[in-house]
Amino acid sequence: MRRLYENSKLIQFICSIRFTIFLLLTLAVILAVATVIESREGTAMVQVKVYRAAWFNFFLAAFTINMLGGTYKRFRPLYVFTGFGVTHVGVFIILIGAFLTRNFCIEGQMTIPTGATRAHYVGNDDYVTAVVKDSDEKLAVTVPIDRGSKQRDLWSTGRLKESGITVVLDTYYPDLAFKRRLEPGGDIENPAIKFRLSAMGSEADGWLMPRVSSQSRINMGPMQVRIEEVDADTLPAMDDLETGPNVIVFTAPGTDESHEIEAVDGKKASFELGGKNFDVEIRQTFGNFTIHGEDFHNQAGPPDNPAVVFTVTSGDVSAPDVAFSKHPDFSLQHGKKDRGYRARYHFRGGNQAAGSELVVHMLRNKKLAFSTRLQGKVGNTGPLEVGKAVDVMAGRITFTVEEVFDRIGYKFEAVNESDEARNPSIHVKLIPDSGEGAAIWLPWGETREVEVAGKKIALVYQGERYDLPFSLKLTKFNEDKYPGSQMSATYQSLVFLTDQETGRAEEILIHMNEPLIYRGYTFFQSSFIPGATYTTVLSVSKDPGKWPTYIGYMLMSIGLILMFYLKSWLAKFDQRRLKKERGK
Amino acid sequence: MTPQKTFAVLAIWVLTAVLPLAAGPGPDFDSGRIGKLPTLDNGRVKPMDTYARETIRFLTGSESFGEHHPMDLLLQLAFRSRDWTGKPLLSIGFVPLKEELGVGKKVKYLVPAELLQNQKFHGIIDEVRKAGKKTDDLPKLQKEAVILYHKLSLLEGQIDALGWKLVPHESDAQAAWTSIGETSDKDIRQTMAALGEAYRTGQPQAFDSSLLTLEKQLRAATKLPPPDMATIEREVWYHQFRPFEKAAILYLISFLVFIFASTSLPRRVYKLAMFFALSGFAVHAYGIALRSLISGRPPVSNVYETMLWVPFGTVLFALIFELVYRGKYIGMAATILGGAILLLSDYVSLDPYVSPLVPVLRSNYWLLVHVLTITLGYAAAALCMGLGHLWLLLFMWHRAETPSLKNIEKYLYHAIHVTVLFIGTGTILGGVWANQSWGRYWAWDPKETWALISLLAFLAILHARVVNAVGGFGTAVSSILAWQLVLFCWYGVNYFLVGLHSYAGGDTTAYIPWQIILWAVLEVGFLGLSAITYRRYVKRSQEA
Repeated sequence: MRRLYENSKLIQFICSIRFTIFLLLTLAVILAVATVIESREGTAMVQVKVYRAAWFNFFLAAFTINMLGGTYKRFRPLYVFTGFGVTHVGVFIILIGAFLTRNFCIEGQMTIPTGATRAHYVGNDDYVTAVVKDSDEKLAVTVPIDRGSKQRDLWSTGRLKESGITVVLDTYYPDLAFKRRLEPGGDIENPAIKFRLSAMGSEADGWLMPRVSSQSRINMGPMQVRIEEVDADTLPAMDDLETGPNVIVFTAPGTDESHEIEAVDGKKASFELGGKNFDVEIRQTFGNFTIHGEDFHNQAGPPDNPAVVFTVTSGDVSAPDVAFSKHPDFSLQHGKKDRGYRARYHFRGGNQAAGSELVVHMLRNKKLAFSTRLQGKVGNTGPLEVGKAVDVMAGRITFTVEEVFDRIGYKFEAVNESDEARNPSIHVKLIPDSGEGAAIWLPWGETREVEVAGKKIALVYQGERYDLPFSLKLTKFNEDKYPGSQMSATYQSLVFLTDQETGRAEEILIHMNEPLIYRGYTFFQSSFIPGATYTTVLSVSKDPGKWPTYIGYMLMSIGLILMFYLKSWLAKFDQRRLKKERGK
Repeated sequence: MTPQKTFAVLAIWVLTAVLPLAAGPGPDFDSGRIGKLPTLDNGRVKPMDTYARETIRFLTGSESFGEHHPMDLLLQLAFRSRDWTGKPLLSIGFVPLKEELGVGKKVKYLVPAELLQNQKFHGIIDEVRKAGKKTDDLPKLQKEAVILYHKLSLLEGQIDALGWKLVPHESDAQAAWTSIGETSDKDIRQTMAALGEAYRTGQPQAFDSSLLTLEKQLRAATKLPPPDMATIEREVWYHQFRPFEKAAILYLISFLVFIFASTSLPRRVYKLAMFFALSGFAVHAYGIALRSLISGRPPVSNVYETMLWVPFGTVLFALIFELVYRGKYIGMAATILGGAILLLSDYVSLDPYVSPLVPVLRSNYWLLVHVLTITLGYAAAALCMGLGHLWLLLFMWHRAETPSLKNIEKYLYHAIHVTVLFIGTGTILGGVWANQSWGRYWAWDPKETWALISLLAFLAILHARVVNAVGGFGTAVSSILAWQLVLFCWYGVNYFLVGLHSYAGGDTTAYIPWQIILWAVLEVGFLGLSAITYRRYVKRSQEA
């Protein structure tokens, strides 16, 4: 080792103090420039351009080698205990810690509204993730900009190697608006009609889609236009079209007796049936009933599965029950002890008595028909034909189906003048090795699909989600203010920690400068979102480099003191030792 | 006369000359007593005296506008408002706004009554209202106009003392105090009116008795314990005594005496210089202690407070060095710097009043340790810079490396050690604190990065000395250059870069004031001149 050192001028230079001085000053200049970049272009950009760049790593590596080499060159056994040794060992350990932090630290933010429970957090870094459909290929490109920054060009690229497609993050826009435009086509079978409606001299047009809940009914003043799919080739007779209020009909098995109750939340009724007395309370009506775990949910969307939950009390026994409009044979009491009643739920779309309704029926054979309802009764029915105006309500309203589509999808178009919600967005280009490329505007948090070179690629721009092995529930958030002012003095979150694995369940107070440290994760009170109820914002970090860095810090500080103030004493000690050696 | 007696006489003479009598009450009225009424303003209970100072400074740009005691001027604004609404009073500095309002470029103060009728001013304010933006997001001209508008409304609040928030909440210690204009307590309003009438008509006795009644009524308005009068009086005293100004003057005197001491005058002169330095240091320490007692925390939470703390550290280190080395030059460098920085702290437009802390700065042990350490690092770096200048000056004077230059070099080298130790550990402790508050020990925040840059520069000097790459001249010049980095870290980062430490508000549109440009030119000129001298010296010694 010594010989290698003595024979190589290059190695001598790399280990020399002159090179150290050069590195120290260069690093100072680099960092000074970096802070200016940060000030101008944002924290995320400087991270990509400098602090996390490969060349900066290389520079720090050179620094480490120079320091180790220089220390080794001057190394004497006793020097480990001198300020010189301790300081440089300390710096080396700090560099190791920094390396660990740089490569393994995960930082992010966790927002918990009061009362809510969360078991994940979102990383601070934003990515554009590209997933090639029907394959395992996946790519994440770091977005070198903080959301909320000004518009600017990015220069991040990534490559889907198997597919041979380069993903280029082109430009960042802080607040891009999107207009949704409907276009025929798409993968999903999504029927739609385009219609025109004229009533008393005024005209309106629009789209109706039976399978998209927000587009399946449109309010047009006092009138509602609705579309539904009918599982038949002809429109049912006028009498069979169900209208009016939703009801539950109770029957006693083996008798002709029945009792009808209007299904309205909270309604109570008592009746006698088959010689028994029943007390019924309607708990909740559902348009689209689903069960998640043990809870009943009313899923958004068209009323695909109308149901009603109610309690029946007979004698001493009180039990809940459910009746489904589309599945009359199914009930919670099914298969259990016969309680002396059958319940049948008739869902008729609710009581529309207040307004009039025009229903477009999409038949199985793709033909269209309409029916109108007024005061809960069917008024008129008839067929609809494309391009033909039909008088649907006694000469007052004419309805024209302009076009019918089997499939329709949304196309997004970036616009600059719009009142629609604005999003931080990235213009992403996909460039295949051969063939035509594609470009798309990718708004924050939304998934968009692009087809390039025969491959379907799903793109999403978001922070990475990290799951925690335990959960936190925000029990209470507290903000203290300075007396007589709106200035925050301090704030804190009372959280409930639940850990299924270790069985720990405990209430913990997190406040400024007093984080929660649990299983390698540290949760800091960072900020909060005010509102009717507070939402707390916790910074989360999992940093394996923390302790090495701290130890390095400590050694470096001790070393400096030793070096500057105990050095003269040690030098004397050294001299005495040298004298002794010489004496031998 | 023994030396001790000489010192005593000199000291009494200096103190009487330096310390003007505490600013007293107005001509006949006890504005000192009314200044001790407690008020809850801006999140803190403070004496009316401080409120008056803050108000007068905000309105006029200076605490002692028109040579009036601020409390006295506040009383005049309150009860003789008509005398003032027609006089130039509201300070204005932003030239484009002056042009926009159609007042002369050289006008320094606006007349409130005229401003109220200025249609262009109303136009700007209406525009701001329509825009509905936060003040910080407004363009500079509108922002300045809004400030002017705030001045007007603050002035309006002074009329008849209606805006003085003097009435404590009945039972809630956290609630805002009620102003005289809004209080439902008729008696208090009447007493205040009587007090105003007494002031207007020039009846000091009636004024005093009304004030007594008012004090009683205000105390009776709440069931809460009264504010600690010792703290209130301490704050009034702190503002009257102006400890830092006095410390600065003592430092500057000490500096002059150090100059004499550095020539071959008797040892007594050196002792005199040390006496002034020590007494300045004592007054300085007393001021810092007072301020800490008033705010209930060490004075290191904004730029103004660090401008008190850094010269304290510089003089502290210098005094320790002087005790060890008896080096004269160390004291010389430190006293001129201490005096200059303290005077500058008054000159630069920083808020010198005690204000509440943002949450992250509160109740943290590490904050205290970190800021105290890092600012001591700045202080040591300032001492390096001072010694560096001194070295170069003496070198240019003697045009040779004299023994005293060798000594200064030694002191400088030790001062660099202290700097590295304190900036190093201070930065590290900053990391520890950051980890407690933000969850990361190192985030490349501009402030910490610049602390690291300063540290790297000083480390480079130390390493350069190990291989003899720099001698006395190199060390002196590089210390001065390294100080500029420290200065940017201390001061520049807050104004020119945006980050966690931008407690000054992070106004990114900050421009470079001409004073800084002048100083930079002078510094570069000085370094250039010394470099020329040094080259000639090197040539000469090579020829010899």
